[in-house]
Amino acid sequence: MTIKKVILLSLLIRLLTIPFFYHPDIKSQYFHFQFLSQRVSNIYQYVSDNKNNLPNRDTFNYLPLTYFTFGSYFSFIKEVSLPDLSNWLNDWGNFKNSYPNLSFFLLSLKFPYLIADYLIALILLKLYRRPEIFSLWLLNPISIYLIYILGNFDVIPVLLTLSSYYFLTKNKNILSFFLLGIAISLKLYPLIFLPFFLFYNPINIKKIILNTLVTLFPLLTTLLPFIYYSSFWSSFFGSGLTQKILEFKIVGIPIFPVGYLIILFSYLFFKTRFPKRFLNFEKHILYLFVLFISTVNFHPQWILWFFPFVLVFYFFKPKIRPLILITFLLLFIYIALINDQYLFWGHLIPIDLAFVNTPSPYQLIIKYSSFKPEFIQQLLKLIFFAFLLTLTQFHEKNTKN
Amino acid sequence: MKKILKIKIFFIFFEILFIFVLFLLLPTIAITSRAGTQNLESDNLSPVLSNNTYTQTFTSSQNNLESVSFLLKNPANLNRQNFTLELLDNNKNTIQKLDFNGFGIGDPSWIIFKFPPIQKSKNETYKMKLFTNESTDNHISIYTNSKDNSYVFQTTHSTGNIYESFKTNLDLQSQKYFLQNELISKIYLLLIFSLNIAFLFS
Repeated sequence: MTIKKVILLSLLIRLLTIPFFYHPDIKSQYFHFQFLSQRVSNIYQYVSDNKNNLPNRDTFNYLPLTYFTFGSYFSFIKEVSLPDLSNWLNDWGNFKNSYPNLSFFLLSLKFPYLIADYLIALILLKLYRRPEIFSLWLLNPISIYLIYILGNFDVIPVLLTLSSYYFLTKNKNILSFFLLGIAISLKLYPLIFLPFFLFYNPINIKKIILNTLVTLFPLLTTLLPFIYYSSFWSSFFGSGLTQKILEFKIVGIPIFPVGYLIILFSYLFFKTRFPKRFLNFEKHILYLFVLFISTVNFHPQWILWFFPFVLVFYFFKPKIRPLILITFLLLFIYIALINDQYLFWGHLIPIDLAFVNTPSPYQLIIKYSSFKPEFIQQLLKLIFFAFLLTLTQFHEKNTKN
Repeated sequence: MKKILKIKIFFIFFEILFIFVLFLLLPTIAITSRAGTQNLESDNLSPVLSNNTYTQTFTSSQNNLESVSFLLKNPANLNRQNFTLELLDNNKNTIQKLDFNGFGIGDPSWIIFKFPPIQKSKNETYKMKLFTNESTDNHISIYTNSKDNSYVFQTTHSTGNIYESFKTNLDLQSQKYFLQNELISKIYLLLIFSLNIAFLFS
């Protein structure tokens, strides 16, 4: 299929998906973002001061740059979108989703994700120079699920992280680390990738310090105006990534950080020994991904952080495709077993509100079996871990060959 | 040439199938219960006292009435007394009865009383009656609406057989379409149509 056809077909699929799939995260995020259009510059303090009067009493758990970026976008669409968009965002009562134009609200709020999605495809094309990767990114159902059905803004930091990687491969280090810094200022997760980026080029302490400073510059400058507010710290530590990566322990030792260090050392080892090895970076991000899903109680949208790199590896290594496909199949089973109505039938409430009361797989298992869904999830995590070990064995074999 | 035509036909078929499954088939199969008559507005709480009855009258908007619920509040889950919820027909005959314990009530939670669907319930008037004969210091409260002296309640009705469910769903989808913003709906459909044409003739 030609690039033009891929663009047309993928756009059609997206336009048929975006308006009809919902997750409440997009509403709660934009509920807070909307306050920028009311000239609220310190959202943390504003929420803390008005907690009892706001229709949604959740704290704002994201970073300042996230608020200003999406707040600015909301200020723009508020003017051009439907007038009841604001009513919907502020309605958290019994009829919070009974808005006939809900589909069009979703279309307007997810529009930046569409742009980011196509830019990711373009960067993948430029990075690997294979039109098939461009098509694979745009036509695979997993990225459509992660970006548009879950509807989180993670796709923007993913785009910035991937752009950063692109410039890193082109030896434009300052631009690369600056973009990574912007990504971190939107959502902290790219910090997980930072050491892999820092050690991408041959080790040079001076450069590592400079690149670290360039990366942290956007985060520090955007945090600076808020660090004196206790409301900022209490809101910010309400989000759970740090706690979640330390949660799973064996004999008191958190597994993710230990596994992370092993993967980082393996990356450094192969980087030093075989500096020209193709896909060394992507392979270690794949390991990181499998470690992450097997040891962290992750939110489904977090899969997107790793997905472009996993997809590249999937494309270039046909031998491990079945393993990756099975992993994703099991991942969807894992997600379906999360006790959240909005992660299964609830996605379809723009089509019919009654979907929210349709029993989820979690509820059905509880009702009709003696199994606990959480037990099945733990089993799946063990399988993911077994996959990680299989993948490393595959790596070893390939290296020896 | 024939192969391209086959692919195009397959594409159109698949797209129509996708729309059919998403909008009609899935709701028809997956949705087995829909909200019926309800009153969700509340501005007050009343304690549920022993030897008092709390009655709510309603007229079912649909056939196949299959559940009635009150919204109750049991702060800190302290209450352990026994309650009864009855459904009475227009002749004041008890047609369904549920005994439950305060232990199962949250802060707040719906007490959902599900029973076999009452087939010809449309436009029939029913009474929901809540009472307890036990006295306790730890009261359970019921959500009320002081404007019309009503209680917060909801009912559901079964969607019936596949044919009835499909018909209801079709009606709902067409109603929803006409409630949407007309201009944006038209622009959206035009965009989908144009993309189809562009893809098929590219």
